[in-house]
Amino acid sequence: MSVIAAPTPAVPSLARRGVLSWITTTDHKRIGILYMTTAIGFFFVAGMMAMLMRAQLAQPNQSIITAHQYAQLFTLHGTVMIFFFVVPFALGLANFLIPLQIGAPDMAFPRLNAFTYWIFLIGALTVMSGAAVNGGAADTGWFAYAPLSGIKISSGLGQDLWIIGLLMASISSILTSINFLTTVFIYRAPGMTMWRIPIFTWEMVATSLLVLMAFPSLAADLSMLLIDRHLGGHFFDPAAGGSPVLYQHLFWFFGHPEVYIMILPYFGVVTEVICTFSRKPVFGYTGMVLSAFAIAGLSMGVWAHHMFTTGAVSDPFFAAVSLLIAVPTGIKFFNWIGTMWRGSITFQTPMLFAIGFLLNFLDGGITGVMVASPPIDFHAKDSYFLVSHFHYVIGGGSLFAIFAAMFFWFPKVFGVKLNEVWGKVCFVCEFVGFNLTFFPMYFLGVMGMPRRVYTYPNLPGWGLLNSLATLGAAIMAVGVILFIVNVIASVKRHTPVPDDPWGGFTLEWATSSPPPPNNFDWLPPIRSERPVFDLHHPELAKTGR
Amino acid sequence: MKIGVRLFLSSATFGVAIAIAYWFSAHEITGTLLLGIMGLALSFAACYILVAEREARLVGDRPSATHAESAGERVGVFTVRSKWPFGLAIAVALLLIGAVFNAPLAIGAFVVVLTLIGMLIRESR
Amino acid sequence: MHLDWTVFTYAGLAVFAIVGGLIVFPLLVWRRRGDALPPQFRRNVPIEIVTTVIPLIMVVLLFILSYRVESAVEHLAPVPSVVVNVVGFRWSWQFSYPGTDVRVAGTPQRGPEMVIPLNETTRINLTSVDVNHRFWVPAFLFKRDAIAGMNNAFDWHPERLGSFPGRCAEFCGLEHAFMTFTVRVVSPADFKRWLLEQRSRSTAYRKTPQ
Repeated sequence: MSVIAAPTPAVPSLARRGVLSWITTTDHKRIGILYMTTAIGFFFVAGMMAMLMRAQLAQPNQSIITAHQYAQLFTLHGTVMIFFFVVPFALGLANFLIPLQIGAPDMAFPRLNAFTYWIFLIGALTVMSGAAVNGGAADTGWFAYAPLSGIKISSGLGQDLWIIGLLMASISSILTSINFLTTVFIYRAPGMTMWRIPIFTWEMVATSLLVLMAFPSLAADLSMLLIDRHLGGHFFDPAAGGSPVLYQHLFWFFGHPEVYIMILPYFGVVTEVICTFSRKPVFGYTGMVLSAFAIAGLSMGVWAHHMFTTGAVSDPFFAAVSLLIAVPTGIKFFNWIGTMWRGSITFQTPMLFAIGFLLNFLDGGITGVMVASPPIDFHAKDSYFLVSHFHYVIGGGSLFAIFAAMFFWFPKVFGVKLNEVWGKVCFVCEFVGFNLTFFPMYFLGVMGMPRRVYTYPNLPGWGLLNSLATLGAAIMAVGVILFIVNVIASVKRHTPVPDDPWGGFTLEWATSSPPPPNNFDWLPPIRSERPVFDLHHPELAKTGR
Repeated sequence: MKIGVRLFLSSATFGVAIAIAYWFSAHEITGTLLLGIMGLALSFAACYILVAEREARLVGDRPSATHAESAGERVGVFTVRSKWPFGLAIAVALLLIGAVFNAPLAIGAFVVVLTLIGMLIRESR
Repeated sequence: MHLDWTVFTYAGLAVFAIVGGLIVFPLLVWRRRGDALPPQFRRNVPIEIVTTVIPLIMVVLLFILSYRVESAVEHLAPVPSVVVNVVGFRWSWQFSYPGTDVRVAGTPQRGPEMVIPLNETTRINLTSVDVNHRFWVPAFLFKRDAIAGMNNAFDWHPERLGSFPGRCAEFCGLEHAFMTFTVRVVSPADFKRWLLEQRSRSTAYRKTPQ
């Protein structure tokens, strides 16, 4: 049976104006917009911190900023990028997309949804407020190892504000996951069986499960740190029978799944983009789903690969499981390649960023396999080799997918299409700039430069490589500025956008751009994982599963 | 709701299995407890869903369901706008800040949190 | 150690070349020409099996190599020739040679020097008296944590003479960047001479003001 599409007038769902309407909104689309724009705002803040650090490191023995300022910068850069940009952007995008992709009118718990946004915002501001207090913001790194973060050595308010802010972020993420899981379990439209939901939604299911398993460990660890700091606890104090290693166990039991929380949603983004711009269904749908859960599950068992040099854990167990994670990740790569294989590929900006993601994440994934081997980690750990590895997967990976997502779904979210030419220039700046920044760092690490140093001696090659990295960062900043200009100019120009500007496959492209308040005025029949594709190509519509 | 039970049950089984594998290969108590308790917690979720949603027959789970079949069905209460979430966020934030810095603030904030949760419940009746 | 690095690096480069090539190839060959839809295939079970099994085999082999190398590196000799106790503190290191009263401590401005003999096994016992530090000698491709309340023991069997810089690799506070030291490998005879010289002048570490 086929349904003829009646043209849907673009009913602006953002029609109700005023700050109050945003403060009291429970509409998942608005909450998604709040999350994403706030996250991007924090990206700019953490990005400027990075620029300051790169300026300080451009040449050996500089003192543009002091050691104390540098310590606050690298702590906040990491904390903000991870907790207040990469993860919230994904959660915001999922907030916007999940109900649309499964044909639901909203999330299962709309008011809880709103609560999670506001508590996240307040948590972020709490962490940042440390910069204004006596002693400055937290300056013990984004993992705040005890005893360094204990009350004896870090007695300032900044550390406490950091802990409290992260506890708020934990509450936010855990409640969001419950919302996502319930929504996907219960509110799928007729015909939208679990094996027909888009890959992005599947990745969000796996991500939500990970959040539920991982964040409680962080909350426990931070609470124990607070008890040690203010209530006379000795969890991490060896003099009283405690152990600094315990802090690390609890932290990394959260910390490693956290990095998969930071990448799984973006695997989903990249999948949607590659399918659309190759004009083919995803290759190996089942494999994509199973590998997402394999990655999620295995990621709970690798945490102590961050502790290989402590001498307190069984390195072989963690090396084995860490190496094993490469297999489901590889499956995803081959499935993306299979999707593009014999496709009909076009190179609009979202696709360019997706391709950049593939190449960058491949690089980061390979160096990840390297440091999964303890003998290699014995040299590379906490050197610039490691800094480069994780920036390749989070920066080259997640960040590029974030750009892809913005260019891809901006028309759907705002009813405005971003300029393609400037988008492509932005991509070139980001790709060239990113690789110029981080590739030299592999060599710096191997040569012996540790991380978190605010300056370094004038050893052969160190100055040149660092200067290249700073230059690359500047180019990336130019790309970001171009992006901002693109957004402003495109919003000003405001050419109307059809329901489906790219030829998408999933349900969000069956409604107006932006969608009406109740998401759908009508729904096409759902008989495969590509209901909108089936609508436009009924002769090719897949039947069964 | 089969998917919910399946997801949590398989994750719980995985958690327990890897805890056992970890104990026998590493003999390290912290990691074993973390993994094992994780498996246990997930099984709580699985059991809850199993018992609570035993009778659920979701239209979304039937591959050949049509939109007409679920037309007019009451899906749930979707509030369009509410002033309580924002207030609750502020109250929870003050509760946490008070818990560290100022006990009276924490107690006061706790009372406010309970009140606001009550208002939220009342709103959805 | 070098074997591990070499194998993993070459394997990594090979994987990058192959997979990267597979990524780029469709972009060059299957660009959109016209409106016709490409073949809408969704799976190919033999290929999916191959792309699961081959990486699995590679990973198992890499693990075996890694395990063997790590076992060799972490092997503790039953009777080392020399023992050095290393203590990390904010912000330098103290090296002491038990059985003698030789003790060398450094400052951030002037890192301490550890002297050890060539071709003999030196046991290092590593700990901290305050926060976590990490004892790293890049030339030896090796680092280990200095954690309060824990003793980390490892052996070095240096096969090259020379002076090798070392740094702290765990952020430990404001002077972390300056927590450097040196390891000097000398002939066994020179080592004995150095020990005798040191006995006459040893400096205990002073807690630097924080």
